[in-house]
Amino acid sequence: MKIKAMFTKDNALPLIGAFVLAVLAFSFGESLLVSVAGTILFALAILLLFGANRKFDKGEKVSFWMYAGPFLLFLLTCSLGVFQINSYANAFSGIVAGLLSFLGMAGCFFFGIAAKLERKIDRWLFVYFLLGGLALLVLVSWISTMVLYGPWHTIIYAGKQYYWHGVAYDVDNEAAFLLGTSIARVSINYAGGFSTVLASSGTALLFIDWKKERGKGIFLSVVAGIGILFAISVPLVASIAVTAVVYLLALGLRFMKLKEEAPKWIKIASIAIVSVFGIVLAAYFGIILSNSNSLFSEGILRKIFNNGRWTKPINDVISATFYHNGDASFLSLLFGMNPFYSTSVGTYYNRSLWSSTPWISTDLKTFEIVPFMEGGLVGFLSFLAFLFSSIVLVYLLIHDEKKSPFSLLVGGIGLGYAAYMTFFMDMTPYVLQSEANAYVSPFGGSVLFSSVLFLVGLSYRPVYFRRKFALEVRANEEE
Amino acid sequence: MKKNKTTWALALVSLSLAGCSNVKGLMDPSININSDFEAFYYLGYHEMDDGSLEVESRELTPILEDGTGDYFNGSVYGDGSQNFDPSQKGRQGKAIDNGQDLPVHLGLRDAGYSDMLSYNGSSLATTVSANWVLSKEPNGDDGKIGTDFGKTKCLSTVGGDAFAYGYLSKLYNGQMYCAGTHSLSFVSIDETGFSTRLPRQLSDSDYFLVSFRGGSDDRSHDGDTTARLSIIDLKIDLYYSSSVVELTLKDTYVNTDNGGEACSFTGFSFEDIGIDPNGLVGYGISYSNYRDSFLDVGEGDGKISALASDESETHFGLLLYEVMFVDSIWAS
Repeated sequence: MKIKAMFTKDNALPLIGAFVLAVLAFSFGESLLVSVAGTILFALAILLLFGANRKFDKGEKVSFWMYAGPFLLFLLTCSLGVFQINSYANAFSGIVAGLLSFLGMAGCFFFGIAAKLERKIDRWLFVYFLLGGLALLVLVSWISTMVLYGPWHTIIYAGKQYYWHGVAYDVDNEAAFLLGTSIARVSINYAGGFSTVLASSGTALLFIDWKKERGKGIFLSVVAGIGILFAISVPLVASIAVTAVVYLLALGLRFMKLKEEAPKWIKIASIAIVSVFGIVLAAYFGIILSNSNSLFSEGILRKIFNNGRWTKPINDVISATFYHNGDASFLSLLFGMNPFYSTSVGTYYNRSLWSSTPWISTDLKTFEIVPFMEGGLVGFLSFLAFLFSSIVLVYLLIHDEKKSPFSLLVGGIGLGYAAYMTFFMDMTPYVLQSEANAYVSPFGGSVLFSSVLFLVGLSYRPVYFRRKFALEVRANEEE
Repeated sequence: MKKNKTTWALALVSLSLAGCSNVKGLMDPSININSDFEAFYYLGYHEMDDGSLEVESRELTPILEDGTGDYFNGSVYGDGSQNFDPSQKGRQGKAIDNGQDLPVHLGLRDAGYSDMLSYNGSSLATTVSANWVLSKEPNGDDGKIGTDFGKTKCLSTVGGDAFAYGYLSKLYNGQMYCAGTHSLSFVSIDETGFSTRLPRQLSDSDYFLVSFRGGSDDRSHDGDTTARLSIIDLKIDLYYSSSVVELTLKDTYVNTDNGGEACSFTGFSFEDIGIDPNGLVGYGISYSNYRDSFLDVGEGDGKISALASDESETHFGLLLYEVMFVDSIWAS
């Protein structure tokens, strides 16, 4: 499909959506703009989905809600749960901001689905707008970083500190990033998320037919190139590592044959992994919630949970959620942490039961724990269900489309994003406190999460009851 | 094509030369974490030393209970604004060892400088704590402006972000004393001190104020208590574009090794000593004639010294917390 041919009056709504998508991705690094753009996308998605003259099969509907139900529940608890409402000066502001954040995230997903149903427009057009906006944001930030710090500053100035208002900061732990109309100092882990997502989009290049899809290839090369350039010239080591793993897996897939049906061992292994994960998770919560912190203070459990750089913050945040400044709170357990507590002296960040560190000062690196903090057990479990469905979705996408460049683009970005955010998320990315709010959610108002949600929506297909659904379709066809 | 390449090359070169402003003035973190005073010293930073300047030297004496004198020298734990009485016991109950009959120095309240503790006509909270720490608490630093002496009067509040960058921003951030942050909060100097160009030129100011205490790595001393009174001649150099006024504050009292809260607020009114602050471009702080009860103990290498260049085992450091040009107006 020629791109020029898509720009017609009939396509006005989806084209406006594509433009809004670019604004969302660029967003000047401002989370509020991301939420507002996402909310506009929500409105457009509603118009497009109701306008679409397409009947949905009952099985398809059930399958869809099995996917979207937990997703929406997760968004609701994170956007309008205890955490969000208490983050603001009054409940009204909290609800308005939460609603905007909810509609913003849901809008990205539903506009993705609406865009997929829009047959007259090639889905790549949306991808171009999305990645174009994101690439521009990263390009501006990369140039700023080069001008303000020079190339390879994290190596050249390793171990050096600068002073701001009398406080020492590690210069090798930061990069410059666009925030509104100025340049903010952000942690390299935060910057690395952007370079990882952009660079991972290049995995699609391994599957492109360069004779037929030259333009697509060039676009992806430029976009992924900007991500890689950012990662290498700072350098963002974690981002380079995650991107390398994503490319290696894509390369493996390039030479692997996909069978019609998933091999049995994959199914068995998936069930086994999910079960073991479930049991470990249940035991972990059991220990934390029974307040048996002594279990964490001895032997191997202490090594894993209380000394681990990766696990200790998880432990602290979960504890701080359940024990609001030391008092057990079942409301928080179910629907999320109250981030603050007040005394007659002032308001402070909530602390965990057995650590004097406020939750905001823990170096939480795992985005899977944030739904628990923001949305409690309800948010956490529904997020896990959504995550699981999405992994299956991406698998089915690659399988159904026989390793099309689009499926690899979504797979690459999805894997790069999830892997990076599992090990290197930063919830307090702004180095200087005066520049922005201390806490920055990896979900509400996040450019990266919103972008991934749009791509997930754009590649949506029934995940559950597929066999039954396919059989029903076949039976109908036979009639 | 060739032209194109040249353009790119020029662009890249100019890009790399353009700024890198975020990597200026970087310091080694060891200056903060080392418990050896030799490594603590902020040494060798004499930006303003220039032999071509016209020099005017003045000697100032402390304001005593009879009202005579030029500069105030107050001390009470955490609030260095009150009188400095050498016969008083220290915060931790240890005697301040003076060994001689020393006069009381008046702090800014009794020396007639109490208006320094007010702001916009209304009195500040009696706490002169700074709560400067970027503590990630929701009511952070800026909430202290207008209520806390340090955060209200400090140069980064009055003079703007120009004072926020660099190692010496420790002296401009409103933290008047340790407040539990130890070496992270002070700038330690030996007798040679430092001089620095101010990021902006001063137009007017009512008072000069410096907050400090003494410290040493001589922690146990023949079974004696470590908290003690030290006396120095504090030197404040005020640099103008073509001249320098060298002020010597004779016999300044310093609380040494008596906890991070045992600091002193010391300073003077520009009007009272007859010096016009207009046109000030830099300042320097150093000291000489360091005396305390530990000085007489030990010989040669075993003797405590306030000079980094001395190969002594133990060293004294003047630990500066804050430098203020109180109620100042900045020209550029």
